[in-house]
Amino acid sequence: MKYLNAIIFVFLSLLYLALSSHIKFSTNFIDIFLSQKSLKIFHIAKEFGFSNEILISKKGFDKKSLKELQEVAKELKKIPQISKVEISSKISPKLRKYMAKNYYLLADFNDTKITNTDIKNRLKKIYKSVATSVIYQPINKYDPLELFSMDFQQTSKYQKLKNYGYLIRATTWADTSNAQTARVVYEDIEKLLTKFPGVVAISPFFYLVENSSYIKADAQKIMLISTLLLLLLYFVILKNHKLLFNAILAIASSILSAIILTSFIFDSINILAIVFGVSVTSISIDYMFHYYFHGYFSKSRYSFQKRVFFGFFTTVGVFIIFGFINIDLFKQLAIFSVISLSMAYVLFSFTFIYLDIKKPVIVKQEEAIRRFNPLHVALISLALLAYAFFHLSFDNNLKNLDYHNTKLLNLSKLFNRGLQNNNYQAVIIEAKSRDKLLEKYEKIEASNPAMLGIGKFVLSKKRCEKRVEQISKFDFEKVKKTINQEAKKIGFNDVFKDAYKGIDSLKCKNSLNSAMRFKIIKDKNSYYTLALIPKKSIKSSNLFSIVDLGKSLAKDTREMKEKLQLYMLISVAFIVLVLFFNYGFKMLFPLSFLLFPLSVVLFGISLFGKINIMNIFALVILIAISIDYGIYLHKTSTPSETKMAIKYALMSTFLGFGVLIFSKTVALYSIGFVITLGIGSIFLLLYTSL
Amino acid sequence: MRFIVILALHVALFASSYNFDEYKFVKAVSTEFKNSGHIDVQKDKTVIVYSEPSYKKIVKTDTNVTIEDSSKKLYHLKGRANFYAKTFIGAMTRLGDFSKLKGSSDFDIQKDGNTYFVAFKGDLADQITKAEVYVKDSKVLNFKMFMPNGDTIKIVKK
Repeated sequence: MKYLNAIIFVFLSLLYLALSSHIKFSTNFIDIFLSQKSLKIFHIAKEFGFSNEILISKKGFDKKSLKELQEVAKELKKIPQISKVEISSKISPKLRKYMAKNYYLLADFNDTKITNTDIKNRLKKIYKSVATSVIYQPINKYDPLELFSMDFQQTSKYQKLKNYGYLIRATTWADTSNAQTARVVYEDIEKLLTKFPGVVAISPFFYLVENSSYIKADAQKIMLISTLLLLLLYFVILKNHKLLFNAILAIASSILSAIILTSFIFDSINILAIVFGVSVTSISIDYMFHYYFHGYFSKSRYSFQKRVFFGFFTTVGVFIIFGFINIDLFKQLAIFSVISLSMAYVLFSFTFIYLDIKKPVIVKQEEAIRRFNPLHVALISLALLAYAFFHLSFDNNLKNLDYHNTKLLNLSKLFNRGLQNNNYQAVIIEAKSRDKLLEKYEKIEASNPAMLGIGKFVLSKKRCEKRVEQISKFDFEKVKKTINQEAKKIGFNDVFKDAYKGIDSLKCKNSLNSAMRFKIIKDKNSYYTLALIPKKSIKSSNLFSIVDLGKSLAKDTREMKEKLQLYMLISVAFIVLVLFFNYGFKMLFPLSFLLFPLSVVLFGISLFGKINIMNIFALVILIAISIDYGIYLHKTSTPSETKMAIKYALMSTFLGFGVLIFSKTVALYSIGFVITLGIGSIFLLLYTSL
Repeated sequence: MRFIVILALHVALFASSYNFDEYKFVKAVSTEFKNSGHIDVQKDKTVIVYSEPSYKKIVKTDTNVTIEDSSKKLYHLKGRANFYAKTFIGAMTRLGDFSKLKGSSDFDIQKDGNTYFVAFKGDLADQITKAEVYVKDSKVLNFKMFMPNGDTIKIVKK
């Protein structure tokens, strides 16, 4: 029985190894924060490859800059993950051929009745222009009357970033939502650009690579500090190696059991849920310290500790409540925490008694007992909460939680300005068939004529047939005859013999072409296309979904916050109810340990900034753990032992969680800030309560 | 003084100017039209002033082309006109300067006596298929551009 704790650990480790092929982890962080609706939109948008585009430019429109960029383009083509490199703004021969073939169907058609005199005057104008114009322009021998027009003119040979320089558009086929794959492409491009000083590049996945590296380095630094300080606490201050070794085994067993059982409930466990779940598990060290300082790790002294069970029950109760929330991350975290905390409670309560660890020597406090007045604390807390209520605002911009990458943010601004990206809004159009999709596109285009999309290249059957009918009503046979007769009289030779050739035999057979910038994709049973609508004219409509990661995240984060607020209120109500059943109207003292830290933290956040989703997440943890200390302290007969246990538990929690306050990553700092302030306020109560 | 020397050197390095006669043959009307003017190639712009048959001043920069007529009214070219103007002025600038003939990725060159046969490549070939440049003592005397529709433009330096 002495090795029961170690045996359980070995058993769970073997079980984990046996089931490891079944256990799946997810590293997709965006899925956590987006609703199903938003996720679908971004999944489709990703299919269009817009997030895989890399933009490269160099300042200046001089020949030297152009030549250098042409060299870069040449080198880019050698990178295996790069699928397309474009520097020329010329339409591809394949697309040009397609457009020429379908010109009469796709171009705008002015079908105003035209007389013989109109034709004569138009041809005379052409002749005059040929004779007097100093700018050479070849005669349009196919459409001399300019009945058809298409806003599709090339103004420059090369792609340009307005007011900056020439531009390369490269595309990678690699999965850039995966940090590892994205890093390979990123490093290849970075390596290439070191040979070309002054050449700048940007792509959405650059943020993923650069920021994740920074956050990783930051987290590693914090973890190192945390580990060193925890080792200092256990080895130098507690000086009990046996306790440390067994506590590590117990926590590891709790984590393993939580991973194994959670994997049976969910298809995959998000790595963030595991990281935070592991941190929550470390809270169970409270139970260990309480037993240790009271000398219960000996079979002879063991007795059931109602307070520890009560503390465990309230903490687990809060996580059970959060298990019902329909936010995957919190659901996974809550279930993980319920399992790991339960396992830790069982291990610390029932296996550590066989370890026969002696009670440490505790110097009893001689000073007179000073106990805070819970009513005063409640009043102060309510005042702080009232201040926070009127001054606290929610920061729903998840980008603010990320590392502030000034270099990439400035580059993004430069490219967005030059491409005038801010003038267009990307939208997704969905329909059950390809033709219905095109019809929907045309309906949207009717109210947004400057819209860009697949409809510029392909027409719906209905629209195409309408155009064919429109052309057939225009007597082109007669027009062609008149053009050739009048042209000869004016002085032209047979230059217009091919005018409007083939216009009488048009067929609605225009099909998709791989050279088109816009595409139609099929996903499951629906067809989708991505279009760009000028922001000036866009009005929300149920015909399309707006693709704006920032706005979707903000909307989903707001909804997430509202759900979390509701569940936090239910949790607090649960704790109050449990306390009331146990202590009746004397519950104000233990309740102070929940109310005071919560109000101090909210007050602190309202003083220093806005509350974000990570603050709320940390508040859930704070609510779950803080009440334990009130329960342990309430009418304790062993104040010195209890105080010592809480002191070490708080120090342990600070070293595990609170050290995040030293992080430069806002998301981690936000958790650290809440836990540190919460722990600080519990310490304050602790030193005024005994 | 030093500033003036640098300025003079700068002008000599980046600028070239000459008077010319332009013979434009339009196949559609089987007629050749003649214009006369002066071209001034500067570092950041090209200015062409036609004096005959009527005054027209064309200014081409990296992004724009403008035309000024005898009434001093200024027109900014757009779309197709802007595209063709930029293409042909660009070609005139390069074909008229012997030093710019060699080492271009836009065309291949073959020499026969004093004539250089230029075959355009890539995007340019859609507008100008080929050109013939007559050179004497490393100086371009005249050049002729051939269009895909059979039109030609010949520039004779004066």
